Amino acid sequence: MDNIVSYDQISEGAEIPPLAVDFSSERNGQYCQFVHEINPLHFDLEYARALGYSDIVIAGVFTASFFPKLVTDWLTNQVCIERMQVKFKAPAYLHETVTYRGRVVSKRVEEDVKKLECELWSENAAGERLALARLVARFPS
Amino acid sequence: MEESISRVPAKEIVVPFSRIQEFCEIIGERNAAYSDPEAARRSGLKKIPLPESYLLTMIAPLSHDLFTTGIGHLVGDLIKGIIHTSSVIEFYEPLHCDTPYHLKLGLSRLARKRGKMGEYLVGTFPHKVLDAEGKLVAMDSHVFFLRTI
Repeated sequence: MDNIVSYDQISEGAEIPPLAVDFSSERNGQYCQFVHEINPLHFDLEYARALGYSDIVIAGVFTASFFPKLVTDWLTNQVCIERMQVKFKAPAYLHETVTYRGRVVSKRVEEDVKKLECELWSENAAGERLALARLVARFPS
Repeated sequence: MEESISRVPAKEIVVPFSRIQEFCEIIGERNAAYSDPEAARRSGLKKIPLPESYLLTMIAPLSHDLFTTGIGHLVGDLIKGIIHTSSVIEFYEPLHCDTPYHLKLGLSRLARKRGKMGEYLVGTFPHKVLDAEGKLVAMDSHVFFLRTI
C-alpha cells in the first residue's frame, strides 16, 4: 500500500507514468465483439482503405477508455474521475502501440474536496498525437 | 434532425458483473475494486463499481441507435460520412454493476460548418445516464461531424 501516491505528494507539473497499449487484432476483435460493433471502419480493412485510411481504425470510444485508466493506474481507486474532455486528432490504427501520457496542470480544493486537473494525450510510435484529453480527478473526502 | 433523434427510445441497461470482468480483461484493468466483491465491500461499497473507463462503452448502444433507428434513413442521401471528433464526459455519482440505469439520447446543438473536405452538420448529442429515480448520474456529450457534401 505504501506505493500509493497521495494528493499531498503530487505537485503541479508532475508527469503521470505512461501507459502503452497494443491495439492488436486480438484486442480489437475482442472489443468489437464485446460492443457488437456495427461500423465496418473498425473491423473491415477494405472498407477502411476505401475511405482513405491506411488500416482498420480503432474506435474512438475504445481508445479514449485508456485515459481514465492512465490516471487510475497511477492514483488507484482512491480517486474518482469527475470530468473528462477528449478531442480526437488522428486515427489510431490496428497493430499500433499507442502510448498514453499526461501531467498534472493544477491542484485545487473546492468545498473541501481535493481535485487534480490533468492534461493527457495519446501518441503513436512516430510521436504523432492522436487524441488530447483534459481530466479532473477528485479525492473523496 | 430533432425528429430523427426522437425516434431513438430510452434504454434500460443493467451491467452485470460478468460484463465488467470481460471489459477489464480486454483493457488490462487489474484493479481489484472491479473484480473482487470482497474488496468492494471492504471499501464500503455494496456493489462492484463500474470503472470510469467503461462509460464510453456503456453508452455505445445509444450511439448505435442514433446511427440506425435515428438518422440511419439520412445516411447515404444527406449524410455521406460520420466523424466522432470529441466527447465531454461528466460523472455526478459513482455507477455500479447490477444496477438499473436509463440511457437517454438528446441533441443540444446543431450547426453547419464548411471544411477543407466538404460541408458538415456538427451535432452535439448528450448521452444521459439516469438512475432508477430519474436522477442524472453521468453524461457523455459526443460531438459528431456529419458530412453532407
